[in-house]
Amino acid sequence: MLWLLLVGLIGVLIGGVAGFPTVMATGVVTAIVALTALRCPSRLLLAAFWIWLEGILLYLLFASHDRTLSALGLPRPALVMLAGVWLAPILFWPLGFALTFKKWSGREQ
Amino acid sequence: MIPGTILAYLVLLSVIGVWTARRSRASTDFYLAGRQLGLFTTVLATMASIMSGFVFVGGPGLFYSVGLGSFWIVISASFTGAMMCWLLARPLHAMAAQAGCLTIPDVIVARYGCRFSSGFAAVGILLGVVGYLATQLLALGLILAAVLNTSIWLGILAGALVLAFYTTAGGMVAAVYTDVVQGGVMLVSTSVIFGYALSAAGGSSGISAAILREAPDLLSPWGLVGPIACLGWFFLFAVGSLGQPHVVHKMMMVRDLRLLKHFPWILAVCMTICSLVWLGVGSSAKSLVLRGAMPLLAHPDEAITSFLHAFAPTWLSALAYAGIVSAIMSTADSFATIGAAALARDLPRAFGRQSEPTVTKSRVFSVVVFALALMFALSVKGLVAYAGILGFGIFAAALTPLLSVGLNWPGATAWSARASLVVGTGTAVAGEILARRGLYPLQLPPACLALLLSFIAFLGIGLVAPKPTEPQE
Repeated sequence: MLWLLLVGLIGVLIGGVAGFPTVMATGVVTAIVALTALRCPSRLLLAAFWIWLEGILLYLLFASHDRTLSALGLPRPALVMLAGVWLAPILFWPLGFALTFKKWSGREQ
Repeated sequence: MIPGTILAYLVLLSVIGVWTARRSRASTDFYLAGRQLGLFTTVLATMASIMSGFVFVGGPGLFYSVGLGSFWIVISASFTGAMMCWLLARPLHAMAAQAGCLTIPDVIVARYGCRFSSGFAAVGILLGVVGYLATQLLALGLILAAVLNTSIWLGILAGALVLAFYTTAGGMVAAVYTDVVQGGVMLVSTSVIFGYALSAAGGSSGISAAILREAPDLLSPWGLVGPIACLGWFFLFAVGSLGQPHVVHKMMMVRDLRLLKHFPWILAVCMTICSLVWLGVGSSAKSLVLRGAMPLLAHPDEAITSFLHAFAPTWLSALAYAGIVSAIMSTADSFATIGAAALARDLPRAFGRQSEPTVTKSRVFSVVVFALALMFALSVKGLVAYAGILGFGIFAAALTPLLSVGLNWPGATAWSARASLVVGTGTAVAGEILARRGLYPLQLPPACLALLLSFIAFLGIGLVAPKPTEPQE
């Protein structure tokens, strides 16, 4: 996982310095997931979050100029950003932590 | 009514300070609130420490000036609590209980056996505390100046006096108990302000229509700053939160780790509610200005005060100002205590003095920290939000790799820690200086670059030259 974390960090660095948002977004998600994987007991939670966040960020990068109005009168990408990156992650990791708490505390002990 | 409410609120906080002074008899009380926090106290104290004037004053201001892209700063709040529990709760709690660690530099010296790293971390913490505390004092000055109809400098002085009084009296016990009150006020006030701001500006559809008509790029997910800066903020605040000493320190104060089972999702819900003020007031103020219903702001940080002044009834303004003052003070009090710890015990220990400072000595150093922050606040002339990023960036770059990876990876060595601290802190400070002089050439935020280089130095040295040392839990 540490090598994966390093790869993710280098992706963020290269993407950020050279101006490649897609590389940077993939690096950000990889680094966050690889770091959390050092202690998260559930590969399912890690994989689900990785796929979800990567998908949302790529969508936002490629559809950011879409002005189609959706719920609440917001442009579709703005709504996807708020729902997908701000609200939905509560269902992945914070609730996932409660659901896998026994496994985590057991492994820790 | 508004000045009366705020003054009564400040008096209440001072009374809590006097009450808690009696409960701060030992260093464990002054720095770790006696290690007796329950679930809801921990949630509210953590939320109140994270959600500062940066979120309440700088946030709406940033939305006003750069649009939805600014929200990447706070958007990761929904999942960072879970990362904090998974990666930090167990080792930090164990080190406080078993190794007698009271501060983050204590944890570093216990884990890496390196006084240089501990001392350097204490210096980084002190720099970050002074920078961030100055930000809080500036925000407090802006708010109190608007409420009490006085100058911003008098506002800063008045706020600093009350903060210094209760923090010096009660240390972390006062900080935590006031945080609980302040956290409750913040949750109520943000919910009400958000609803009122939306309704005053014609609902989300009305706001959206006005912004899309006049400045559509503000509602792009990347706002006016572009994806590189936004992704940089996202990474910095998602991962860098794990190096914020005033936040992760709370993990050392929990009574029992089993209480943390529901901590991440309750924290996420509370933080989500609080960050509504960023979206609601920022977007409403922008749409009202674009429609000509509100005068053009002289400064983006005036978004919330101008909105309240122009549209809110008196009772709502009183509630809102109480919420804002709560947010600012609840972060500042934790900073003052960890800054005092850095001066009173962490730095002397780095030079070999092992004696535990008395509570009185810790109180004196709390006052010194406030004086340093006050001097810094009086010399800063930028946006409140950007000054906040400087403090956050120093903490993130200096401490995140050492804590998040180092406490979970036996291969991390003292050399990894030294390299990470020097590279991270140096890059954060140099990058911010260059940025303020207009010489920083990248879109990637300087603090994000510092965090990345700090991580890479830490991992690179640990992976290439592994010298296993067991984490001391």
